[in-house]
Amino acid sequence: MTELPDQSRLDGKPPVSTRYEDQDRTLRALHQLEHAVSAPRGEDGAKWHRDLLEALTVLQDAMAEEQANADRPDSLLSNLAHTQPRLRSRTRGTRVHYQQLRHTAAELLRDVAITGALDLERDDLRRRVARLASALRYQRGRESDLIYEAYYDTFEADIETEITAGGDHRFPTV
Amino acid sequence: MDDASRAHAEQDAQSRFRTSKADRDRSLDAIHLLEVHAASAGPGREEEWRASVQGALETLRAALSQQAENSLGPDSLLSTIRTEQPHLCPKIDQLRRRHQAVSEQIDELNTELRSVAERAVIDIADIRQTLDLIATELRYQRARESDLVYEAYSLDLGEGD
Repeated sequence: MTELPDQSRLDGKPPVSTRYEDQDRTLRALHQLEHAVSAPRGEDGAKWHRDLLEALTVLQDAMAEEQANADRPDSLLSNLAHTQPRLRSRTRGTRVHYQQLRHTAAELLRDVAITGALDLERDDLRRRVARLASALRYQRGRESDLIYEAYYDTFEADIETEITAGGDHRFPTV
Repeated sequence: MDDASRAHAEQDAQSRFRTSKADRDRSLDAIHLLEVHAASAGPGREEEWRASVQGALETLRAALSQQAENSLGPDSLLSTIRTEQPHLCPKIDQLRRRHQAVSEQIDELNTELRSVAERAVIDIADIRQTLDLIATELRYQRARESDLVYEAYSLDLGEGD
């Protein structure tokens, strides 16, 4: 059975819990952005601009934190890359894809920041946010698949069921 | 219009607005739920994944049906806009057509999910792609509906979400 490293080094939290918390924070930030960008055409442009900037900043911060935690040597993804050679390439792909998504979010934030409230193309921005949201959700699904596979390979247990049941305490120490 | 009639009319408008917002909130919750299930792990637990996605899809379908039912009623927000501001009729009709189209798309996917359950074969990537298209279309429609209501009444349907 493949061994996975210690899960108790991330501020006392198991890597799986940290991973899910990070993802949930990013998802909440994404919902805030989707809400902001879908505010009605004709509404106060300055407020729309302000809300959008704030939501994009929140998302950028959430994504940065998620990536920083994932890049730590004791993170869940690092564990997988270290201990499951078969999944190393997919783990790397997940990281590269996430970095690309951060670039996309940063570009969006920069464009909104340098464009005046009256010059913003609402439809264009809605489309860009929709594409980013779609890509983030795709990424989340792929990552869930990867983590599930690694966990199942190791423990022959369903991580989704264990998390729901309050589990998440089974990654052994290296 | 006397004061009593005016107050009654304003109360009606607020009630329509509240109903519409409640419908939208319900369907947004259902979209979020569906997305969480779609993004959960699939390969290796296909049947659990399919069942949870199908359940969430049915919740969304029910929410959209109720939203459509309320929206088609003669006292609904959109019907009132249609009556009071006829120049917005084409936009309302288009919104309703798109709503109907996406509801049919959900029904088709639901049928497909039932059939894959019988055949025990499932393409998770394909289904996620379809779910993503549905959710994106629904968000687009929500934004367009907000635009329309704002154009009619200068009220933001999403306020307080």
